Amino acid sequence: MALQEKYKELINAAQRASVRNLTVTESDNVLYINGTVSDGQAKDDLWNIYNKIDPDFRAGDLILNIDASAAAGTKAKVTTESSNLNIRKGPGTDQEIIGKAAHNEIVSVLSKANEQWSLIRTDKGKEGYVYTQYLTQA
Amino acid sequence: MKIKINSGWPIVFLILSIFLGSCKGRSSETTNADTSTTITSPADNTTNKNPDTATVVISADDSLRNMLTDAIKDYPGVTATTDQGVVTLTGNITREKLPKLMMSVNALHPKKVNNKLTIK
Repeated sequence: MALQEKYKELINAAQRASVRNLTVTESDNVLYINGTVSDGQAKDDLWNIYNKIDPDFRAGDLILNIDASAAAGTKAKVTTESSNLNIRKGPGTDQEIIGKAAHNEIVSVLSKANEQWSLIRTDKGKEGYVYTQYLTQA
Repeated sequence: MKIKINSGWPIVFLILSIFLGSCKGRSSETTNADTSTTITSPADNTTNKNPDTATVVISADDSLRNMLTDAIKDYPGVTATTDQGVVTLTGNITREKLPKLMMSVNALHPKKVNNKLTIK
């Protein structure tokens, strides 16, 4: 319960931000907050609060897993820092690069392969796997 | 006969007005009951505000190791190791890139993340 008190502002904000499937669980002195939001800004806001409560995330007492990735069957924007996003043959960085999606390009999300990888199609018809973290719901 | 009927009307009105009066009384009682229901509802809201708890799912080390390779690929200078679900990050990173890396690692269902990165 002490950790829920420490991260109270974050938990309250998650509730206000209408995080779907929100769960808050404490186990072995680590707090686990899981949920899904529909836009990247809501996720960034929650992470900013986490960074404020625990500067540079040093305490190792919270796992914040907020999924803001684009759902299958929707459009997503490529939100890399500035570079192009590799499109790969399979879900993994060991897989061959078969194309690129430009920074800020809008792509179609066909399915999610796993926690990290999504199968996408570009407007030019190139299909392959990209790292989900760099996709934001468009 | 006629006299009895005529004298009976006021009695009918009297009975009707008593009946209507008692109905009115009942409807105000109902309103009071609703109000008291409303008083109890904030307690329900408080219960709903408590988010659900869930069983904590921790990724196996082999799976975590594979996922970490992908997660840190775009962060040269960062090393990630895992032992029984506990991920330790070492090396160097800039402060502006740290949140994105942490988001990525936190999404892999680790048991814990020890951030031992040097921030440049």
